Amino acid sequence: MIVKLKYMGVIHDKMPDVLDLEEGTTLKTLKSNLLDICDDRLKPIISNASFIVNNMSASDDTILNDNDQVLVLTPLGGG
Amino acid sequence: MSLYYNLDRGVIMKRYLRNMDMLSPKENESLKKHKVCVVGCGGLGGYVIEMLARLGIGCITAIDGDVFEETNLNRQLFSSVNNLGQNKALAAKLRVNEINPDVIVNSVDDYISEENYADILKGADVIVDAVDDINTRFLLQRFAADLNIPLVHGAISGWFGQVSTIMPNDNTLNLIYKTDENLENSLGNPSFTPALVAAVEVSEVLKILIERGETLRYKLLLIDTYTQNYTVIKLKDR
Repeated sequence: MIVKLKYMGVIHDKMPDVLDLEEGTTLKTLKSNLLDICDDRLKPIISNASFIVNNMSASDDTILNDNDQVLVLTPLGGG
Repeated sequence: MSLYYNLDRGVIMKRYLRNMDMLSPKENESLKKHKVCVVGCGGLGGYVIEMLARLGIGCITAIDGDVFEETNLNRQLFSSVNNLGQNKALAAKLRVNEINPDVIVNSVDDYISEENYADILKGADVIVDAVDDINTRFLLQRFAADLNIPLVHGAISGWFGQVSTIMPNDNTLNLIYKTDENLENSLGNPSFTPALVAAVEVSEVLKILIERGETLRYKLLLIDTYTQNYTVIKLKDR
């Protein structure tokens, strides 16, 4: 199944926009996949990111479906 | 003070004429009685204070222990080549005195802390988050809840920004941030993102004060100026 990804913050142009995942993949697994493929210096940022699925707050055990839109929200700190 | 007379609208100060009819004369008049505390007078805070003053908020408390330096000139509205080294809260007061002398500005040359928050924030109708670190934002959320005052949250990073409205004990920041560490600032702070986020924060303040309109309570507005995507996400059900 295809999951579309968008990113807020410093990782916005450094990560894939689309991932082909197995049916039934959870958000926790997606996060783990992203951690596997990202640059080392981005790992703490992704580890502490919030994940939004189809414009709704989601948790680690959220099961992803084909064509879901996942927004990876890294912690914005500036002001 | 110039006044404008109209049979339907009554007497309105001329400076607020263009606030009509988005605001009723009664609502505009009521803003004079309100007090808003802005924590941080830099990138976000400068624009927030400017807009609150032009709207006609009666009393603004501007809080910042920092002084202007050259690296602020790219974005911080109250900074200029002539006031480098000046306290940011004091600069806010001087600026507001120039644009709307009817607004009372209490400038606080200090950072918000456990020791001073009650004295500084008590009695405010709304607190505005215009700080530049996540740890202080969590403190503000706790201080605002303790004093039973709504908090309007805003944050930026490079092309990105976010806004939410937090009522006492909503603890919305706990849904947004998984850490209170500042993990990244490599995207910098340009001129336009603070202005955009500040404008949305002020619109939230106004709706809280006039008690109408739909706020971003339990929601988060995500602003991505790199792709010009603006998304409101639902953080939890009411």
